[in-house]
Amino acid sequence: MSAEANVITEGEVVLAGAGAGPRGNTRRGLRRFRRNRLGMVGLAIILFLIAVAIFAPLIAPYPDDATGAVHVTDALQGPSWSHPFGTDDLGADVFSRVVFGARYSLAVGLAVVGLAALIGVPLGALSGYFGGWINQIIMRITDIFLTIPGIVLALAIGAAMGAGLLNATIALALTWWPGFCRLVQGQVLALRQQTFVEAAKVVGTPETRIVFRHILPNTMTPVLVKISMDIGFAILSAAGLSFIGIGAQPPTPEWGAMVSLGRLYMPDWWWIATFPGLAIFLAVFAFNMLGDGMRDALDPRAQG
Amino acid sequence: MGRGRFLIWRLVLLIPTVIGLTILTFIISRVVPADPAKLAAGPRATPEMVETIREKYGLNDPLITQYVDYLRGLVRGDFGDSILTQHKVSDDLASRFPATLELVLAAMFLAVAIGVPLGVLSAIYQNRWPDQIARLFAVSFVSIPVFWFAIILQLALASRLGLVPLGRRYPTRDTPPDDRTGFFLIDSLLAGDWHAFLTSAHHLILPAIVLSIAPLAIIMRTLRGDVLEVMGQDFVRTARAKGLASRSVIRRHVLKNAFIPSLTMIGLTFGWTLGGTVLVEAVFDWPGIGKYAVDAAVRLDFQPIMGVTVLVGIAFVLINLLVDLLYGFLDPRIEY
Amino acid sequence: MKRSPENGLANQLTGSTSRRGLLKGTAAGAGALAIGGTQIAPRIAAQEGGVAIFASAVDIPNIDPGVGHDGAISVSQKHLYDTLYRHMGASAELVPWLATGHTVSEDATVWTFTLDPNATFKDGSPVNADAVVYSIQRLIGLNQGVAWMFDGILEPENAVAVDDQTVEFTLNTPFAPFLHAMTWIFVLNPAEVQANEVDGDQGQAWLVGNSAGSGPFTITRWEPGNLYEFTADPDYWKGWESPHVDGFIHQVSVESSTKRIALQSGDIQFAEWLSPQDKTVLSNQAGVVVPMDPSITTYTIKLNNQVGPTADINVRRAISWAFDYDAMIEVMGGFGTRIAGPLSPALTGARQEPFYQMDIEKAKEELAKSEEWAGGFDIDFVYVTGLEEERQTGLILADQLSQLGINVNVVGMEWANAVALFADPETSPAMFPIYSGSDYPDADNYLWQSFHSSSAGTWTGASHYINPEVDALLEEGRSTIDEAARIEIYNQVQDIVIDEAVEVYLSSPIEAVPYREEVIGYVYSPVMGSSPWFYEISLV
Repeated sequence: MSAEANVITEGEVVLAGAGAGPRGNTRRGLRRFRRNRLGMVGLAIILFLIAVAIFAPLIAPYPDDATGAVHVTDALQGPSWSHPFGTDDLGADVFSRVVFGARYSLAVGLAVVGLAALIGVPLGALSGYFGGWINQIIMRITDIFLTIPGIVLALAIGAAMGAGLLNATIALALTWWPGFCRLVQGQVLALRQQTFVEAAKVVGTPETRIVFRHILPNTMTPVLVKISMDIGFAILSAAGLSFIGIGAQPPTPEWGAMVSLGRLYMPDWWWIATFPGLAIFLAVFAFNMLGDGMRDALDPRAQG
Repeated sequence: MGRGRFLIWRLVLLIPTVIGLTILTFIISRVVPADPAKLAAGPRATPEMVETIREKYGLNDPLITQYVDYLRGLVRGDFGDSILTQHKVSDDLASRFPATLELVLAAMFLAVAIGVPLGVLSAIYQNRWPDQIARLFAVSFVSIPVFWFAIILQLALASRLGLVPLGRRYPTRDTPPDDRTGFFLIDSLLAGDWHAFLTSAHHLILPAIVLSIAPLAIIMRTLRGDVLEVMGQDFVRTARAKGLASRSVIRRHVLKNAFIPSLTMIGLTFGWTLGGTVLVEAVFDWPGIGKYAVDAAVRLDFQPIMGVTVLVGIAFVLINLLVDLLYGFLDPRIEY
Repeated sequence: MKRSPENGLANQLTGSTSRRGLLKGTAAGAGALAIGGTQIAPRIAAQEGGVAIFASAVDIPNIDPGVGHDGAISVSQKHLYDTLYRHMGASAELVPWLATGHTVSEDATVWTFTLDPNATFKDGSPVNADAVVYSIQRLIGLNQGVAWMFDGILEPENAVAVDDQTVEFTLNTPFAPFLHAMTWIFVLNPAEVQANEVDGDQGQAWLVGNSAGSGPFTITRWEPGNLYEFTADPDYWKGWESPHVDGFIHQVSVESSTKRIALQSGDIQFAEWLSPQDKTVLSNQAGVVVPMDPSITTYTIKLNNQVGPTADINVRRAISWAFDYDAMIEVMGGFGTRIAGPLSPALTGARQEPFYQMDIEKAKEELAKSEEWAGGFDIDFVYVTGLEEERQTGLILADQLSQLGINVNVVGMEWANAVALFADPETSPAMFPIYSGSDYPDADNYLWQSFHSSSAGTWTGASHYINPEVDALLEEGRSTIDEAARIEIYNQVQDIVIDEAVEVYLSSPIEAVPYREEVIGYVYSPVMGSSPWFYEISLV
């Protein structure tokens, strides 16, 4: 046994080697999920954040501040009734910016993981189903990606592409897909031997159709669990890239970029960095609890 | 396969991976619109000056030539020169890597020393309140943005309470212990200098705590899961049925068996923690490769970025290799 | 032959005044009084010894005089190496150093320097004419660092050692500010460089972190990215005139607040690159002096004069009328002054009264004159990632221009990416803020690099401004020795580029490098890399 076979991505902490549950399990799983208290709390927070993101213009007292309005005379004021989270260096209302920030962070988290799944899942399926040299090539490529912490590689890619939230999202997705690829490859490898696949082959179903119609849908449960677990980490990573200046650029009210700016004003004007940081924590925490709950419910073999 | 041959085989397998890594970073670094030569030449450089630099660094050669040159240097341990500082990247890495490694090792020490007992406790008290609290902390710890945590702890512990230094590895005015290993803690012990040891530890503690929380949580959760799984296995039930006291069952049977799969996770978190240094070193003015990588990335100085990427990649693979070897010592049944 | 008049050119540079003024200085007892830029302190208080720590966000990656060149690097170079002349003090006066004097031909093309026979390198060998010639030829040969100063002006073979103590330079063309350029020729010990040569690299690998100079300090610790220690050489050939520190450490610290706290607690003696807010906090602190020194650096927004909306003079004027200059100064925390044109008001011959003020109505009027762009448009403002004030400038500008129907995209970009864009007017950013420091206090240094057509495409020439009339004036300025005549020429240049709104002229920073009260002898020098000068600094 070697560790390499167990190499998994950050989010997938306890999922290693989890088997596929047949599709019927999903409904039972959802019922189980509803009984999972922490998971439900996570879900509630996420729904709340989504609501905040959607209704940001209504919630934020100063919506213009999110897009870079400047009120120099109001700069660096501490939290008060009119500015619950204080104001930043240009007098913008930190609360309004945090509210609008929910849009960016949620979107980035989803986009990174979604893109990664979009790349990783088909490649993993091809690799697992066809095996042979296709499998070898794809797996060796994932090896390369997995030998280096994602954040370091994303730093290199992000820097090369130029700072910006979109580029940071792409950079992260490019470092994220191997996890999905490995996961699906393992699943497909196992499914390939099963009778319903053999049956499809016997009746002459084209192979691509077998992969996409019969095999892939059966890998969806663990993929879904991984997606839900990874979104939090994707938000965290994107915020990290923004923090070191590779990601979102001002005046974009992205939380990581706001912490980065606020760092310059520590410790006296602590609110500029503190509140966006708390927002990141809340969002990531919610997704992690949701992910844990999903895993416990849908993937009974994994405990934790 | 014997252990020796296994080791050699794994090292051989490292080669294509590292080559792949260099190709990847090389492609990344050469498709950018940036003109590092122009940046290096300075604000008032004439076009001829820019050209001189381009020539000097072979930036006018065909890409394939540039790549082969790079690989040829790499074999000799030469990571090329930074175009902006003209430093040898290998020198820079050699002087900075010990700082990062000492920090990461300290963080991992904390993570294992706290995470392992917590994980076991959590499993023993499954679903009772110590478990619930520990799990809540675990999920919180992996959710905290490490860079933000760094700033907040710096504010609270260093800035406000003055318990620890704001940052840096050693007081600027004092000369650190003789450089033997590059690890200040070890060097000061070797020199028998307790004052230096305590000073180094005092500077190290805050960044180490900050970096340790994520691996701590991951190790705790993994171990909890592994302990639960082992406790559910037949031989443990048998031992319990034989009337062995619960505590001794756990010590004798469960821990060892549960710890083996967790080792993999410890190896992996080590690599992530190494990556995490890019987010926190700058906050603490820690003179390691994380800060170095960020500085280089922001200035698009690609030779250092490639150097860090390759170095971290190799370190990651070697650590996982070490983990595999540890498996063998802990569990003689494992065959390679 | 006559003496060069260059010495007096910068005499308009005013001295510093402490933000907290006189009172607090007196209250500190034996501490320094900050009056008009000079530290007046009883000699008894100053003591020999001690190590001063200078914390800066900037690293010193490469101190090879033939290669490295920026503020922090130059500070190191000036302590390790000697030059024929040095810029000294608040007025950046030219003081002979390795030279004992010089003569210049009537047409400002032949410059002859005599050297101090006492000058020696660390190995005891003399700093002679051959060493000077070697150093300048090496610089031009490597074609890096400040080699641009001599581009088209001096061919390497025209630097000649007449005898051991005499060096003669014959220029291709008259160049009035040549004496200033001499403050940038750091004289290397040829024997030491050659002894450390690897594969014919002229010592480049070695000189990255080693000195082959004759200066008053030597390197004792070299930890890139962390700290650099310089130690006073007790046997310095020129001797020491006043009490001085044993050494100083350049400490790399990124965070402004970290430096501020360290300065408050006395862990460090100087802190550079602080945020305006931190400087303001410090100015109310006991034990810390926050000097307010007018710099000759200018902060402007380069506008692309060739392509896009900013190629239209009416658009450029509209932008200049729309900018909220007061908000900018406010954001700079008061550590800046308005500039009228491309030169800092502290520089001799600079236009003083700002022409453009924030006036949205005027801006609208100007914009309406443009046929193509009157209806509004989208435009990029590209700033360098991480530079706070540039980002804030962009946001202020965007906020103002939205009133004209102009939508500004504030884009952060890494330096390397940005500079790559300048080469071609097609890719040059429409608006690009830039700080332009001066290597010597002379109008030519700034105006030539910004507005002469041969500079188009460099960082400072990012406007891609081409105007034959201005070219002719600038060339005339270089070959004119008479100071009054030069000022007249440069006034004409300024009036043209202000009228045409080639750039948006924002401000000149007030340099505030806060330091501990126990520091004696700190004098700000406006020339890049000339302060602090630890040769004259001591600690109480």
